[in-house]
Amino acid sequence: MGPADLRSVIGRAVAAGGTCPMCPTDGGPAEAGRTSGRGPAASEAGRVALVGAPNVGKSTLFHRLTGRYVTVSNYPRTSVEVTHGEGEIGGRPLRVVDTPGLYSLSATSQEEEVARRLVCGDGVDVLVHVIEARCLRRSLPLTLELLELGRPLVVVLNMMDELGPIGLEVDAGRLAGRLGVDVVPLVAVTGEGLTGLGAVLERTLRAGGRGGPTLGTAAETHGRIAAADTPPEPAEAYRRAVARREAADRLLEGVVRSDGRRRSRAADRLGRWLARPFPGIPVLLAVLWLGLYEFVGHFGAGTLVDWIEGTVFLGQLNPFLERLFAGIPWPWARSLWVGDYGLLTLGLRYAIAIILPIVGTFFLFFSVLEDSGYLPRLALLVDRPFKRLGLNGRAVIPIVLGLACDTMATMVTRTLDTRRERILATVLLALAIPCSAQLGVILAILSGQPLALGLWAGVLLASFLLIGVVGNAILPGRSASFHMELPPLRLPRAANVARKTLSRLHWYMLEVIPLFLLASVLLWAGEVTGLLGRVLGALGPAVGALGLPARTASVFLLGFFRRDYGAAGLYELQRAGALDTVSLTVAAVTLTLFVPCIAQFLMMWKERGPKLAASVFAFASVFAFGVGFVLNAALRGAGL
Amino acid sequence: MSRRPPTPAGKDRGAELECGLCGLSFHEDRGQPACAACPLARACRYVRCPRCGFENPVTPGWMEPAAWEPWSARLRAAWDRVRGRLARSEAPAPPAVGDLSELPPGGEATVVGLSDPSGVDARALAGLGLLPGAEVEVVQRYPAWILRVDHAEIAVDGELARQVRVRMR
Repeated sequence: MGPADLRSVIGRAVAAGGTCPMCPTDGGPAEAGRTSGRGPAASEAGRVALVGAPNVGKSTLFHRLTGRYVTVSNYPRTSVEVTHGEGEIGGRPLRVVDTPGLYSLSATSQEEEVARRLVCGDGVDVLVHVIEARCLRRSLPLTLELLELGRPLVVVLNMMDELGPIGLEVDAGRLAGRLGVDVVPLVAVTGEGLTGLGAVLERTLRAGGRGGPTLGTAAETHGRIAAADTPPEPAEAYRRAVARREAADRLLEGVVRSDGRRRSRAADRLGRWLARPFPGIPVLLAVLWLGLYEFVGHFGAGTLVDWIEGTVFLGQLNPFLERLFAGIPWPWARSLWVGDYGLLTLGLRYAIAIILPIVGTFFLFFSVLEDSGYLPRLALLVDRPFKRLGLNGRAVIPIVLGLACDTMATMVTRTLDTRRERILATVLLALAIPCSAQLGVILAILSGQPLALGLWAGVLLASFLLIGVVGNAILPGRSASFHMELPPLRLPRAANVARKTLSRLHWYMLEVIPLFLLASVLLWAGEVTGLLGRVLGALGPAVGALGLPARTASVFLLGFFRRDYGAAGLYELQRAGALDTVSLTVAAVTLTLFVPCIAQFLMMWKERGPKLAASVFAFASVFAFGVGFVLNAALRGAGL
Repeated sequence: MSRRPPTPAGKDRGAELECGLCGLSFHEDRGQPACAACPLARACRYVRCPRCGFENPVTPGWMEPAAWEPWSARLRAAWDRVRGRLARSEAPAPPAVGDLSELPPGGEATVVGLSDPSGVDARALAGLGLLPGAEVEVVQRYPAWILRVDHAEIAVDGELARQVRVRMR
């Protein structure tokens, strides 16, 4: 198929010269935006958008350009939120946008839609297409699409250091000549080649955003393929993809050279091993046990929490705060800050003393996993069982995250492909996945009684499977197919892991602290107005039906505020000898299945809407008490 | 009875025996006369030792290694055929055009298209680089397919693998 045929196949050339009709906010070509009286270009910030497939190092490059780091993810499309950053190039301020990963401008998912709007909109002077050098052939079709937009483009070949070991060579100069745009080879993680990119960006920006080559050069020589003028039908999109691919293959003749030798590096072999059921699954269990149980559960939720909460807060900070606020004459106003449910003594203490260490250790563990390239292999291994639950391998990420903190995991469900999967994962997280704090306390309570522990784990696993299978059966639609890139295994770099952990923590705390403070205020209001007591009273009979003492009601209410706090209440009751083994097991099961904590509830509201949040709340209450009731009756009936 | 050297070829009956009782080595024929008078001599499968008179069982012909030789050769040939067929059934001769899921691990193919280019998964497959002309190698099939496309590895489930039409190599 020659260039002429290409034109006829997808001949709807972008007559508008780069307008993207997909983007309602876009007024027209980039040039129009620039000339509409925004002042002299030199003093204005140069606006750069990083575009590219998931996992090519956009976020790392973003950090390098701006000095601020946002999550880089090996899990495709985790950088969901668009991130802006500021830097400087050649004395001129630089405003960089990191866009969600996309493979093509004609893509349809929500995140890709965001990326496309950013790319086509007029808020950008220069597009930087970041390509993983190894995958040049596959990435070039998107470059062609971007060229068709007719705005200045710079192509970055990232991860150049990976070419040598696999026997590939890329002639960046020749590629630049053919495309008519600058092609900058670099290694974003180490910063190699960045000065070159800086110079190119400076030059391109100084050219006033006009100097960029457009359809005239590369596209006309190599067959002009229409950009996304309308959301194409899948068949049409596929045809265009094929045509672009053919054009890209022609462009790459003589650009990519391979020595033709097959190489199998130790990392590749290890990667393949880990993707097999054996030894993949034993390794998976070992990784989860070491990472979640030992590191997050013992070290984070145990050692660190004890120290920060016990020594720092209860020992030093709270008494100090109480003295500080002792001057407030009205008890109700004082208790808003430092009371049992005080903003500072409870809300902030929970956020800093419990959430921070647990989530911090978890993020550290997760960042190491992510940077090593292990997560996609984990997803691959669990794909088949997860399909039974209406999910696919991708959902393993939120589910594993849920074992650390369900609130955070609920947030992460937005990376799943379909609404159906997002709902299923949200429901599973809310009901059957205990968070690490809760897990820690419950394990501590039940550790003396293997039978109780086994029963608890069994009931929980059964509920997880039951809810998954039933949810899969009643929700309309089918489970989405699974596909994922397997990046090569890499040794994580300490600096990257640290930066990533800290920035994750930063964003997470920003999202969660307000929720905690809100919960604090709600509880305080409940106490001041006496509503809290009435709710506790109302819970009494329900608790009684499970054969539990009325005092357990407060445990459940606290469980709503913080899952682990409820469990901690249970711990105290057990120490006081108020519960026998059966009651303890029933209470532990019910509490774990019981409604998500308030932060998770608010997160569900935010992510999935009030209707789903309310239904999950109602269902979880009924389900938890139902299971508790049956379990209690069965155990007592068995004469235990 | 211990092992004896194989009977020379061409000699159907009669072998060198070693008496199970006294250890005398003698030829089968030498034992015969001892019971010539016995009415069962023709049907008798025992050979009396010329020295001690112990009745030694005649080694049936089929136990002679020589008798086995053509059989073992035949069996070996048959086994080879079965193995060959088994090997082929593990990796059936790939049809010229099929879908990715028909490829064995290590198999290579060139993508020719999708079985349903207007299906919901067409975009995802295109994004993964599974476009006509792309060369694919199957690395693994279970628990999910791992494919090598353009120096990158991607994982897909069976449903996606079945949608990709390929020309086998």
